[in-house]
Amino acid sequence: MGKKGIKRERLLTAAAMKRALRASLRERFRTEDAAKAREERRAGLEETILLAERQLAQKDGDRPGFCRFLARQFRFTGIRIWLCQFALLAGSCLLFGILSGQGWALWRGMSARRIALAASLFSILLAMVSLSFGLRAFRCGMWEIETVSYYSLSGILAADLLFSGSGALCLLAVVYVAAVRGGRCPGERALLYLLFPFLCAVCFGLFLQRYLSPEKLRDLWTGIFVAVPVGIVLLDSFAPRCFEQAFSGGWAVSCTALAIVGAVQFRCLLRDGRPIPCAP
Amino acid sequence: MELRIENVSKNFKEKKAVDGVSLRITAGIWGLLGANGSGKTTLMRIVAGVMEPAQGQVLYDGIPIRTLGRSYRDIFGYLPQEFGFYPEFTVKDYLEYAAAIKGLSARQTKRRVEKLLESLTLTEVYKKKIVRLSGGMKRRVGIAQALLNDPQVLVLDEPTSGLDPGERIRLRNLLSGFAQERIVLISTHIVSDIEYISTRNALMKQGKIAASGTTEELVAPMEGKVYTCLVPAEEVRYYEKKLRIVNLRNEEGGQVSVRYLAEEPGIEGSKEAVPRLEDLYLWMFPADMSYDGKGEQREGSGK
Repeated sequence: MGKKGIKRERLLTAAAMKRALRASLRERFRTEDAAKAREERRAGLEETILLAERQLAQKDGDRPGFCRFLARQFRFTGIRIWLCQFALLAGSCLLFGILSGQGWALWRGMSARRIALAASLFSILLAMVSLSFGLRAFRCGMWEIETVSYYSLSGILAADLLFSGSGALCLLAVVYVAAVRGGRCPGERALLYLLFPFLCAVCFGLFLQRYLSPEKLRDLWTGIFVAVPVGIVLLDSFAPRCFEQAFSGGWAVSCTALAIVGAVQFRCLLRDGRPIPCAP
Repeated sequence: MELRIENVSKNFKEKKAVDGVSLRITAGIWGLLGANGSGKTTLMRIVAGVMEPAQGQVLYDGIPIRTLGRSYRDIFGYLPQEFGFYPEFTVKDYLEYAAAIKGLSARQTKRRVEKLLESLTLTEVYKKKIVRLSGGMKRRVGIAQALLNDPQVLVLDEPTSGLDPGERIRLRNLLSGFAQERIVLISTHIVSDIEYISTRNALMKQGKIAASGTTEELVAPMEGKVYTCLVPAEEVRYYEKKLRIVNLRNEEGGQVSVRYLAEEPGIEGSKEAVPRLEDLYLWMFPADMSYDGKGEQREGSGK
């Protein structure tokens, strides 16, 4: 074999080697591409899954705001509060109707002073019933679990007081309309004897809740619930002029001051909490 | 993740319920053992934020829990020793109410409640009123509410009270799985409930931490203080007065196997036994080795 032959041989070998190398490389690229693609795909999938999980967690983590919490609480406590308040109204009307002999048309037979007395009594009892829901957690042994919850006692109390307050205002409005339209009571007087006692009871009740332990408060509350109707009847007997007042500027200022004090008490109760039950 | 209790004290009138307690609690299951009145529940309440300590503070990852406020409550689950429920609640209502006050969305609530009902075998009683359930089932409902928000810190005060053995084992397994990378603090009288699952334990006595460590570290001092022996049945009464007996088991042939605690063997032929955490508990709280009306000795029940 001459030099040309050797060169040709080498070229052929080189070509064959190139082909072999190319084939080999191609094969490797094919397999490696697939592996790489699989790897990339897997990494991509994992990342997608992670992102999806995060998004799901984030969506799930979008905590319902206080309004939505309020809406959910309505099912558990709001309905109960409003039903109790309505039952108090219905019961009061029935009782007064029986006592006055007028049945459901009780306002017609009542004098303005009697209407003022009835309105005062109803508004105080309404305030007490409304505020007593704040003690339910302690009565039923739920207070510890509620204290350590996200909304804590203050959030739950705020919800309860909002339901109570809105229900109470509606009922007071109903009683006002009934007293003015159905009875002989002037509007200002009805407003005075609904609003003033209600605000007094609310301020006093919130004050007690801030400083007394639930056990002491429960006993005191029961006592007050019994004492109030007796006290009002006695007041009517010994000082009837108390129920013949007219709504003046002074009363308006008093009611405004009481409303402010009540709001401050409410805010402090939510901020500072209330005394917890005594030690084991 | 770390919960640090720093020099916490709490008084109730003249009594010091918790006296200068300091603990560093990391991920895993921590057992808090102690007799009635040793301060366990007060300490649990302080860790939960239900009660403020008179002295000291509790920190989560270096931040006081009082400062964290909602952020702490968000990752916290708590089962009180005595808990109640609104009488009109069914199990469904109770868990949904708990989810609402824990700030869970409706979708989260549904998912979590389904999972927990299955784990705690409450599916069949889901729509029953809680007042109608047995004590053990009520307890499981309480545990379910504690786990609702998938807490990072879980505090359970006497979680197995009222549960039958099968339920206790299931709960134990559930907590073991749950406690990976979470803090679980369990207070109990039933030593066996935590002996095999706890990472570390702390024993409380008169408001102070008397000992803390892993189970092995705690029982190490009890080596050489636990013995077993076979005695004739008629001699048991004699030895009950003489020794601190933790267990009696009737054997064949009128013999009784006695397990007792003592510095030195008190009965001839006694063999040293491998100490358990319960032995340490009864060594430290001998008053818990109580007697019933028939004069038979019960194993330490903590009551």
